[in-house]
Amino acid sequence: MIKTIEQIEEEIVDEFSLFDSWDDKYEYIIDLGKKLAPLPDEYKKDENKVKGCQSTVWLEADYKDGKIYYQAESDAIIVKGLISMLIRVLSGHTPDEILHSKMDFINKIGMTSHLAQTRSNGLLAMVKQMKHYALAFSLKS
Amino acid sequence: MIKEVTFEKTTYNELPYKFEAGTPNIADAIALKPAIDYINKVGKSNIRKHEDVLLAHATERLKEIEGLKIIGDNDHKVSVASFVIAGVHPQDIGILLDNKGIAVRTGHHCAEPLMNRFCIPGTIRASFALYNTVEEVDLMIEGLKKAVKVLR
Repeated sequence: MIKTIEQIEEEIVDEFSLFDSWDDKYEYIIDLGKKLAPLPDEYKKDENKVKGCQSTVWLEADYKDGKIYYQAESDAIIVKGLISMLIRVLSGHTPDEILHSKMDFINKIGMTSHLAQTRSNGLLAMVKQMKHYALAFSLKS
Repeated sequence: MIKEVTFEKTTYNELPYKFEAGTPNIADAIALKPAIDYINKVGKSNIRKHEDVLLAHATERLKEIEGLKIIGDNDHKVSVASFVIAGVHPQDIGILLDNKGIAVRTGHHCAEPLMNRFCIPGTIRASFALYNTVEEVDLMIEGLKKAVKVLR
């Protein structure tokens, strides 16, 4: 059975509850960033760039059989780790599910309050962009 | 501020008053005097000397980090060290230093044409002021070394 967005969010919150310190959390996020599959060069075009990020983020979304599949990359490794989590949560779901997702896990793992505002803008911009794609695909279908 | 309010219509005051809503920033206006007195008491040349010590110390110690390049190396510059580190993105460094309570600015600093000129995505920038200490500069260097180690 395919896990719901909420179930995946819960999984991540559980995983993060195992870490004692932010040093450990960041090491984990950096590790996720290093493991994220690189985005093919053809997708690294200007229209795929997410605005509002301190680093460059490219986001590509494909719509197949009623579900959206995301791929993304960044030149900053922590940002890549964060994207990797967003993809894990949202990719493979329907536009409707993505549009209605609360994305509470970002708060629950302490990311929003821990990142300084100037640095968390990008994270929120990515979520927003992913939802924009969902909205666009939901209008098309 | 407004000129006149009735149920029929609201007329705003002239510029700049129409944008002056509520109580003006009285506290800061009052605080400005002790701030100026304090600067005068310490003396601008003393402040400059202290900043020079911090900047010289930071510039020397930054050389310990492999692949670090200082952007802007004029002999007489304000006490700001802007730099890039090979193979590491400024934002990643910024986030990890935040976590250690070390405040640096990262990114293009609203100077994108200059960043393009140097072909870099942005820099890490540390500013040293009257209230900083040599020990704090050392803490920043240690923080940088740890961050680079985790990121590479």
